Amino acid sequence: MDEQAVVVEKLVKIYGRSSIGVDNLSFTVNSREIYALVGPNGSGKTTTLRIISTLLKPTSGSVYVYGVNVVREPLRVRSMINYLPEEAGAYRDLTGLDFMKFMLSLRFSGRELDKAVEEAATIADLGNYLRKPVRTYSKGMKRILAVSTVLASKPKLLILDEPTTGLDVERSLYVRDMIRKYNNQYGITVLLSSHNMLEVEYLSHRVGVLYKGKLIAEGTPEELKKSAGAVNLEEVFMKLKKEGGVVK
Amino acid sequence: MTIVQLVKREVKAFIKNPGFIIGLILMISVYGILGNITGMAVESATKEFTEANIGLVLEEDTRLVKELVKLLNTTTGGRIRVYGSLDEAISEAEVGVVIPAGFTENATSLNKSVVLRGGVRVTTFSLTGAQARTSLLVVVSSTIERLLPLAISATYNVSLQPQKPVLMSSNILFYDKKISQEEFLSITAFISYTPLLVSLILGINATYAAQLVAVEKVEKAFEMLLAQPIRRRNIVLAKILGASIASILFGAVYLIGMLMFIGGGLNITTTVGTEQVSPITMIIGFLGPEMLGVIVSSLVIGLIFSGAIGVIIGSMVSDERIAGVLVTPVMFIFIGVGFLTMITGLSPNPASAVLAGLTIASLPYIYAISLFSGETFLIIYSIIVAAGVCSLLIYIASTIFNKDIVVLGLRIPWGRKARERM
Ligand SMILES: Nc1ncnc2c1ncn2[C@@H]1O[C@H](COP(=O)(O)OP(=O)(O)OP(=O)(O)O)[C@@H](O)[C@H]1O
Ligand SMILES: [Mg+2]
Repeated sequence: MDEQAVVVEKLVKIYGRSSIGVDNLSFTVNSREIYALVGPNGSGKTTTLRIISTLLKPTSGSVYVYGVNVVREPLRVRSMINYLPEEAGAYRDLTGLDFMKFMLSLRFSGRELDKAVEEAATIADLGNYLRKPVRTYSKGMKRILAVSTVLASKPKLLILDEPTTGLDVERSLYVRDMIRKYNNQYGITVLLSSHNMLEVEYLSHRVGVLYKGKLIAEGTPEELKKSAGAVNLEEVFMKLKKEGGVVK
Repeated sequence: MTIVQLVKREVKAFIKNPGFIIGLILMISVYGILGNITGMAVESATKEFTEANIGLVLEEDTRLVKELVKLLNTTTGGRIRVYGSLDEAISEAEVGVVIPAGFTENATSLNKSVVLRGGVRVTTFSLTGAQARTSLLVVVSSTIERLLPLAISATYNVSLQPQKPVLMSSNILFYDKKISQEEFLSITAFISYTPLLVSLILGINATYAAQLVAVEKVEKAFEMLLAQPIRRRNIVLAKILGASIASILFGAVYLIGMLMFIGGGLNITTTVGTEQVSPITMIIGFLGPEMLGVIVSSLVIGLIFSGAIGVIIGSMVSDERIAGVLVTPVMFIFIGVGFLTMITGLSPNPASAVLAGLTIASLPYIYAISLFSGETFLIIYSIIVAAGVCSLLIYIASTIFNKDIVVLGLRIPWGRKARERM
């Protein structure tokens, strides 16, 4: 775990004139690690993930993915990552299967593509629905479609913005296991955000806590619990939030 | 009354939609400008109408003819000039009318009819301009019709006779080609309507392209697409191509519909000499088969052009509703430009060539002008400008696709509040 998958240095993102998205944020994600960003609504998780995914440009500071600058060489960065957006949907009139085929065809071709599509279909496990138009899907079904598509693309770095929101209990557990499996089996680095502390505790090697665009704590779940004197991450979160509020 | 609340919310959402406001401003200003230009064109056509000299050719020099010319000169405010031949009259005065030999006899015998020969020179494809010219002939013949009884009664000292119809067979000198009235009408109509039809397709294409981008955002597949290892420029080009294919399909169906609407359109024939010719064959014969090539190329260039504009609009808005509102005025602008070309025409000068290049729809028109006026550089100017504009638009669209705006949408302070409230 020495190579660095993501290096974020003094990252600032200001929307418009004054709305602060991220404020002087620095952290690193090691290769093959699962790193979780947590924090209250509006703390800057999505902003950070979008910048790393080359969707938004930083106001200042720098971000490297496997040593490649996201602003200078976005195309090279995109070839190493895949990104599950906060609100991932799919083309309404495509079938789920066609959506997978389309997205994966931007990365693979020929037999490799067939294999990737098959893999995505297996992960999604949507049965007959895979051949139905996406507009007939429920929210959770759309989510699992998007999750399985990005997983099956097996990038070096997988960026997941709240991967399990909208999923039922069983599917959430299943997706967590899948993320773990892909991290283990294929050595995929995972950077995710989540509001579910159980999930974070179960999945991540390290956690970064964001508050108002700043990193206010970082460490393994164990370290965080110990330093806050808490029994679980939820408690850590609440304590940090209170302190953060006071500090501010 | 919950309905009032609901309607209030709808109206508020619409009015606070930045696209709506921008659209209104765009439309008002562009149509204002268009209106001014059209007004100027109509004014100059009217001026020409009331100030042009009328050339007369007298093949007969009777007392009646002398009297008639005198009356005619008085009624037209001294605009009558006499020439030796019709060709001379047309080239000097632009409008010429021949009082033929045997005129006096025909005018004074009961069962003979009066037929004049006339001609005008037209050096514009503009419908208003061309119509002003041809109607000048009609005015001359009807004036003669009115004045003839007066002239007869003055010449022969008889009581006022009833009016006798005066017919006019007219020829048109179109630039340097002699053509009949029917041919003239078909050609000017064809040349004038083509920009309108092309602009309509371009307007539709811009809408399709904007919608393609906006819908993708609404479907929420867009962010994932943007993170894939593909060049943004390729996304842009794909959208333009996709929209163009849809528009071409639409255009083809539209054209078939139009042909069906014209119905017997292909059966309408014109008499050229002794041959019966369909207007389409005639137009192609007159303008050359290259004309079709020019129309197709303008359509292709225009589709890239309008597709890029659509993509730019689509990439800056957050949903298809705003895209629709914003793209509607753009569509009207396209159609407005088509109308403008049709009504006012374009003069054969570099400014028109650049304008046609900037708006694409008028390219076939410029081609026709440059063909007839012999100023080949015009169409070359236009095409260079058009190609430049297209590349620039594609470049702008690709640049926008690399900016935050494509993910976040256009940020106008009051626009954001409206969106939050919705
Ligand atoms: N398009 C935008 N325009 C202006 N401000 C924005 C925009 N997007 C985000 N922000 C601001 O940036 C800050 C961080 O937002 P971000 O979406 O990154 O938070 P988050 O941690 O992902 O929240 P959540 O848990 O609700 O998803 C917030 O204060 C938000 O108001
Ligand atoms: Mg978020």
